[in-house]
Amino acid sequence: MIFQIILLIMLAYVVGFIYFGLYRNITARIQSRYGPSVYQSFYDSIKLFSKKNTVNFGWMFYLGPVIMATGAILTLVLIPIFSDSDFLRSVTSQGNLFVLLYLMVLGPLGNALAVGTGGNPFGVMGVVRGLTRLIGLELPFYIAVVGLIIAANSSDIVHIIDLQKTTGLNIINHPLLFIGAMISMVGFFGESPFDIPGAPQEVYSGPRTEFSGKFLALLMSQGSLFAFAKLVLIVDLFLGGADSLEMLILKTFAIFVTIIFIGVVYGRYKVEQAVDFLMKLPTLIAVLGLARVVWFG
Amino acid sequence: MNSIFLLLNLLPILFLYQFGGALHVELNFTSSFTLSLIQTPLGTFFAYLSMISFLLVTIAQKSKKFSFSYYMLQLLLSLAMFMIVLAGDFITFFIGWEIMTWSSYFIISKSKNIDTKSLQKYILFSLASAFSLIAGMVIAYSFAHSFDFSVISSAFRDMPFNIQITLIVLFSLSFFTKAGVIGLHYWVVDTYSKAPDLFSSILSAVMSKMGIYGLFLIYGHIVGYQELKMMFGTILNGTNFGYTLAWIGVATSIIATFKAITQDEVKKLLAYSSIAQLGYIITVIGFGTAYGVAGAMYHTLIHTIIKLLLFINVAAIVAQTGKSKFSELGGLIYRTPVSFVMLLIGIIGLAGMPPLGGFASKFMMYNAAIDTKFALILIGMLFSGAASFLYCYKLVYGIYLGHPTSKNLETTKEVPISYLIPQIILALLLVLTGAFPGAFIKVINPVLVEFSLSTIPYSGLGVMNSAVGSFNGLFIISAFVVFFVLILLLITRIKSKAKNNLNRFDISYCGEVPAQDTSLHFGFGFGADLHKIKFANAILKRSSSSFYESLATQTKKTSELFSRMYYGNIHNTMLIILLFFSALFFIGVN
Repeated sequence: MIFQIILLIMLAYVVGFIYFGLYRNITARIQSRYGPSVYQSFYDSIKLFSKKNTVNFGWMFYLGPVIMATGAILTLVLIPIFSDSDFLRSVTSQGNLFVLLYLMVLGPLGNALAVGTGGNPFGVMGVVRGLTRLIGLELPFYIAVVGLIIAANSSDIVHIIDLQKTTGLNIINHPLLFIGAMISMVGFFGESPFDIPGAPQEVYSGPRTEFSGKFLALLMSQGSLFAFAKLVLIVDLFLGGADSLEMLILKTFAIFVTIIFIGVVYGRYKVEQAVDFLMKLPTLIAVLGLARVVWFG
Repeated sequence: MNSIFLLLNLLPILFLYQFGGALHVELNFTSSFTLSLIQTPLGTFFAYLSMISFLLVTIAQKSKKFSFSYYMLQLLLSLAMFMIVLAGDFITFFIGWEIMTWSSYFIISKSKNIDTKSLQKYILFSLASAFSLIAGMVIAYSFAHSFDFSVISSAFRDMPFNIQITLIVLFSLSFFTKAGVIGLHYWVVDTYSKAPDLFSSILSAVMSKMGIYGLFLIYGHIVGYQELKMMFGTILNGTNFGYTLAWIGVATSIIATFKAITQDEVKKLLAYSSIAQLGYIITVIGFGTAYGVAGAMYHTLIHTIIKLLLFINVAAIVAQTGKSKFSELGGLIYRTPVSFVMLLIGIIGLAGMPPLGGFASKFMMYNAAIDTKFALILIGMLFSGAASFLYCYKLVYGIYLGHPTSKNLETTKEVPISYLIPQIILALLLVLTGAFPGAFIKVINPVLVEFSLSTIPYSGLGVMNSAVGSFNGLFIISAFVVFFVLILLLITRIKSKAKNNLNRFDISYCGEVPAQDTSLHFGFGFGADLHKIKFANAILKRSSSSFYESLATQTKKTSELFSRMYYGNIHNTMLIILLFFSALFFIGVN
């Protein structure tokens, strides 16, 4: 089991960083630039681990990124990666979808604590904007997840994957819920139009302002692990999971590219505009999907 | 003196433990008038909950001088609650209810911050609650010819439908007022924030729970969940009654959550958060399913732990610094590190994140909503949960993180140990309820049997079972600790020459160096964005005070109209009385 966990973390680490490199490449090509190497983010993270920290604000500043990385890894191991194998099944059976929904916020809390300890008002501004955005952002995603749980009558992800083998994929059965979840996912990946918390050029790079050296490297690494975890979650919930590594890469990449393509063409919403928007159309779409599940089975 | 009252507070716990569930005392005055104390599983749970809370608060009270009368009133209050939760009939219940109201009123009036208006608000709403209760009692007596709970319960089935509805509404209103349902919460915020700092913890953690106990008593015991189902019919997989109540609860929690975020006073934020959390309990209490009752009970336990912890923490900080607003606090993390960690554990519980106990109770309530297919209710609960992260972060940031807003905050010392002991006990309880959520199933199951609902399967201390899935709290908390320690070890192995400076001005500030007087604390900036969001603004700009104040103005005007008759000319008054009696005479003759 320990070996499998290490394997999983390594897989997610590599795949996550390559995806991030591809993301930078694809965005560059869309903007008619050449873009960096696919492995650039990977090199950056290795380099940063050996760089010195410019500042340190005491133990909470030190522990914040560690809490965030813990949250990301715990999320990763609790999501079933492969649909038809016993890979880490004994671990994933200990949690369920609600545990994941809340674990996904635990990491950002650790980060927020470190940012607060750092005492940079711009960083805290980013955190507060992020949390305010979360009010709107979680809504379509929650509705989609609740819809799926009610449809499957179980909050166990393995059960939701297995059910899709007999009833067909959820993306076809519940397209409205899928659209709702994907709109939220654009925000969860920090993409435009919901990228206000980071918001470079505006709030001096937001929550990560004070981090440098190994803390920034740790934040980057957990970011790629967490991104992979979120992609796998969407694949599990809507695309019936993946039974092999190739299918996993294919499906997660499809979701990832969709998110990039959405993100790259939009401008940035202000936080109140983002919440107002998310509470209207995406919520309405997801609620219609939910109503279909509740009233028409 | 503190030690004596500590021992006195220990007595009821020992008393309960001694009887071990078989307490039954009856005082017969006449055949229809009996005072009785009967120990039910539900009452025992609430009794232990309140008695232990009083004990912990008394420990914290050692650090400050309190008068003898204060301690006596508090003891009286704890005994009143003991009477309420163990009462076997309405007379005993009502006596306990009244003693609770008056003793708490006198304790609140001892506060330095209290003003007459807030006190009047408190006593008026408490009296309204009591009147509503006594009206219900009298109506129930006129049909059952007894105040005994079991007699009323069996007579309830034969009452006419409109009487049944009236009873449910009257009792619900009474207990809603105590729990602070939105609309009836007008007294809550002022009272909680202006009461003596340590007493606020009792108000929020224990006294509001008496309202919850009352709701359990009415819905589960006197009316019965089966009867509610038959009376009101079903919707989806739940009852119409439960659905209506759930909307009241969800509205309460959403509105109070948004109000909490924008508060500048720490205790006001906690008061609104208390309303919001009780909103959750009220949401699931009416579902009428085993998981609904279990979720409500679990959240009652968790909310009591969390609010005791947070209010004691804040009371300690207020006592230590003399400041009670977010805009006046900040940057205390390295001055009061233990308090910081305690508050952190508290807010992780409050936000309902795994691996602490707050998650287990939320999980139970969410699953209850899935079980009944109340999807929109569940979304509402999740939504207010997501919004509550904002006030949780405001709480920890505003007090402990960021920059100190005044000079004397930089020399603050750690709070006295007597404040910390109860906090550490409560934090441990929060960790234990997170690691062993299954243990509580054994407390819930006897209550479910008492309400004749199906019981919840028990499979190990660490496992929380529910209708649509389970999770292993022990596994998650240990996995969390293991990963945390491993990553910490890894990152400390990487030797990067870190400059270990704690100079708070050494931040990246757009290429400038902030001056000593630059305002760097963001504490009061929270919630400013919220006013620009249409949905949130719609909630924030409305307030129940405008309704109650206009009601007060109208009442005043009406009474002025009446008083005008008596002032001035005595002949007019006599004339009016004469006309009134002659009118009565003519009506009588005809």
